[in-house]
Amino acid sequence: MESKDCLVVEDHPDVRAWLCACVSSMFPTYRVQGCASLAEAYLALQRLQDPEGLLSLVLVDLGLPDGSGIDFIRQISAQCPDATCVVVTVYEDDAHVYESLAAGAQGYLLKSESREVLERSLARIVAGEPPLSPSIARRIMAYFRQSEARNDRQVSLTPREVEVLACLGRGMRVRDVAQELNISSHTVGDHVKALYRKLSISTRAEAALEAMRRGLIERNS
Amino acid sequence: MMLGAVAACVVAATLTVWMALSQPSIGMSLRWDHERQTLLAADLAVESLAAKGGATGQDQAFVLEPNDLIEESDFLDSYEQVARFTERQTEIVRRLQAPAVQLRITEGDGTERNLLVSAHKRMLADLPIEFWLQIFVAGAAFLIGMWVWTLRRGEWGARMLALAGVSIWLFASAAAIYSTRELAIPGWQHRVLSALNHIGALTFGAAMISLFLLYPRQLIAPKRLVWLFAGVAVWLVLDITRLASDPATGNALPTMLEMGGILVCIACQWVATRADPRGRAALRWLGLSVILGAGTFVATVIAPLLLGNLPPMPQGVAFLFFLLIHVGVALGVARYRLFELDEWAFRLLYYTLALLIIAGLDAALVYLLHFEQVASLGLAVVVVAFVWFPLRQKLWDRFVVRRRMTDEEMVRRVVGVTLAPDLNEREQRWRELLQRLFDPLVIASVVPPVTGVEVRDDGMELVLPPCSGSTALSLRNPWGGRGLFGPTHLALAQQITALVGTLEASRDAYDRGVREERHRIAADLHDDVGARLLTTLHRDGLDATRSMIREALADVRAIASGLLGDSRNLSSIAADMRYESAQRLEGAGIDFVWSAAGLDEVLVGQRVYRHLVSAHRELLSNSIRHSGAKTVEVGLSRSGDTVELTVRDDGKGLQEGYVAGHGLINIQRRALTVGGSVVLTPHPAGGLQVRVSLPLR
Repeated sequence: MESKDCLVVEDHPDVRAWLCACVSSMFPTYRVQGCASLAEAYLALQRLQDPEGLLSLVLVDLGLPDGSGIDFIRQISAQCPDATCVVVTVYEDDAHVYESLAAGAQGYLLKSESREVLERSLARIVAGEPPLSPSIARRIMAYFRQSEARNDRQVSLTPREVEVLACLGRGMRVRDVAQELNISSHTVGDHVKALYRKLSISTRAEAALEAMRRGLIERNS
Repeated sequence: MMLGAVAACVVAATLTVWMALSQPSIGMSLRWDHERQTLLAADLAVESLAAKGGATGQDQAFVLEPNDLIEESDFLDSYEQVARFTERQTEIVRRLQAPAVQLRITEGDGTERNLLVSAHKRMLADLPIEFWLQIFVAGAAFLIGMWVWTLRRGEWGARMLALAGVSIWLFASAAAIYSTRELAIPGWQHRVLSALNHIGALTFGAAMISLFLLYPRQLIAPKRLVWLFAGVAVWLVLDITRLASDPATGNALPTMLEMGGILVCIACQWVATRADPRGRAALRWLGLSVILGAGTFVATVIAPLLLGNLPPMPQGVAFLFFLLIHVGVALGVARYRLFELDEWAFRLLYYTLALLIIAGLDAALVYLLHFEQVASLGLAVVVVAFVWFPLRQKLWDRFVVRRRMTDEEMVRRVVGVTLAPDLNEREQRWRELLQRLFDPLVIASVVPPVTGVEVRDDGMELVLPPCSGSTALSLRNPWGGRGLFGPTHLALAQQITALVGTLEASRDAYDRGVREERHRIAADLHDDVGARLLTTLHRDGLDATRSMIREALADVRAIASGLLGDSRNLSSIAADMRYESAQRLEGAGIDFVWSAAGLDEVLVGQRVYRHLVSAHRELLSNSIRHSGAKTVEVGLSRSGDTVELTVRDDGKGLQEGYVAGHGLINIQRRALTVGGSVVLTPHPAGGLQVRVSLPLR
């Protein structure tokens, strides 16, 4: 069994060590590497660039001394689309979490959680059962509703996904949603992953479109 | 009254035009050539004319003289010459009225020829520019005089100005008819018109003298003026009956004397107004206009006559100088409230002018272009709308309102005043704004302060109430001392003070909001995070400490999210609560049951939201930590204006000798501060139920 790589980008040494220990205990086969800054993280990413693309898990703090972790998430999702990006944050700040998801993160963890809760959540994310808090679900719903109204959606949601989002937005657990919609918990998890991906693709496409529009305007004027 | 004046003006002008049009014309532009000593029409020398055909048969040839073309018979040296001129005019008219007139002409190469022409009535287009100039002067002077008199009917100054206007109208209209004739005018008409011209001219001088005897200061009793007018009348009789020695003595001399009288009266007024700056300002303006207007006319037309010379310019053009007087009066009203008239007076004048222009354009278009009446009225309206009204607005802004700022700049400056960082800066900016708006010579504090904007001292002073860090202020001598405050400026000042007041109020409200918010954050930090950390400090056991710290972090999160100011509705609070309950209870291996009722899109205030969330978190912690429960039910419901949170567990319930911990005490305290309640009841099947009720409003 080939070993996989994991990057932990976190500036606080104690928290970094704690996160590394969590990953090691959950996934003993992973080679865990800690990075204290974005610069170190980019360097590590460069070193890991091998044809096999073994990078499989990245834990990123948002507030780093030399910039925002969101940029790094963008880089990872462009360069190693197979890797799972997870945001590790102090405060469950909707705006930042949402932005990370739009950049391509597939889950988010609170640093203040107990080790058991953190490990369990991490296992769920890697297993494809990412969390989606009600406030983030509501944001995603509002985003797609808006882009639908603007009629410039790159990606649209399926009716089932909309149902799942609505349930999550009301604070239901995955289990409750499965019961409510009469589907399996696993399917709900799949929908959530699809939602994450669509959000990220959609916002990226929108950004590209916007850049092109601006380019056009600048060229014409 | 003004409408009557306009009507009179139009009727008089029409009459004048009609008289001018009824003069016979041979359609030639004649002038006297000094070199060839002959009358020229183009390059043809016209020597004589004779009527041909008709009842009279053929007359003797009538040799033309240079004096036949003279503009003004007053320029002639003696009354005999005037009488001869009149007779010859009558004779020429008689000949011109024959069906055909034979002109004897000499061509450029010296060949002589007879030319047969027939005279006809003049057309509007035939009337020369001098005619229209004089009509214009007459109408304008008349209207401005009437305007001032209409608005100040009881005052002698205004009466005299009106009389002067009527006089100008009389002499200019009369002169317009005879001085712009083509070749001849019937002798009797000339005699009458010339007399009217003299009456007008001398009355004008007398009116001006009277004006300066009575305005700005009354120097003599108005009834004494009878003597002045009697003297003028006597002189007029002498002149008209030709008892005076010559035209210069009969007309030019008294005009000169009157001019001298005007200068003397102005000088007397100057002395009389030395202690009265307002009167002095009015005198300066009016006196200057009269000296410039009448004085220039006398100097260019009358004085050369007395010295035996011909005037250097046509009298009709020189009449324009008289207009200076009345234009000066109009401007004086605008700038110095001459005759105590204010800006509203200008509206009247502008509307009168607009009316005249409509009527004039309409008449001109109908006559000259033979337009359909409806179409030409439409065109006149268009011209007035697109040319006159913008022009009028410009004039109004330029002369009357004198607001030197655009509205946009004004608002920007007012905002700048209210948002200045400290009181001194605010006061300074406020003063700068006032300086820019009114340009007063003096800005000073006034005691005692006023409560509203006032104009005092007949427009010399504007007093503003305390405003934006400034004391009550008095503004004196606006526009560098060249103007007075009127109702427009009062309204502007009121508007600005009100605007500053409103902005200050909203700024204060904002500041107060910021202060309250800071107090709230401080209280939250202290009561929640601080108290929790303190409890942690004195607790044994690492796990307990960790969980307390996690709760403290959760408090910080809640405070921070409150800072971001997201407005919260009850249903999204319930969703978050449900999610958090599930996460935490599942993590502790406890079953979770959720229930909710009556939660619509009701907005919840920040305080209630914070209380609700922290009570929920605290109760959940208690159940997880102390009860040993297997199932926890969390419920959120709203009925009317009350929201109710229920947390029920199936654990140990309250033990004997229970002492409420920090958490529960905090929940109770919070609930009390917003008028809510906390009720603890033992669950019948064991365990504990806590119900927290909070009012939404």
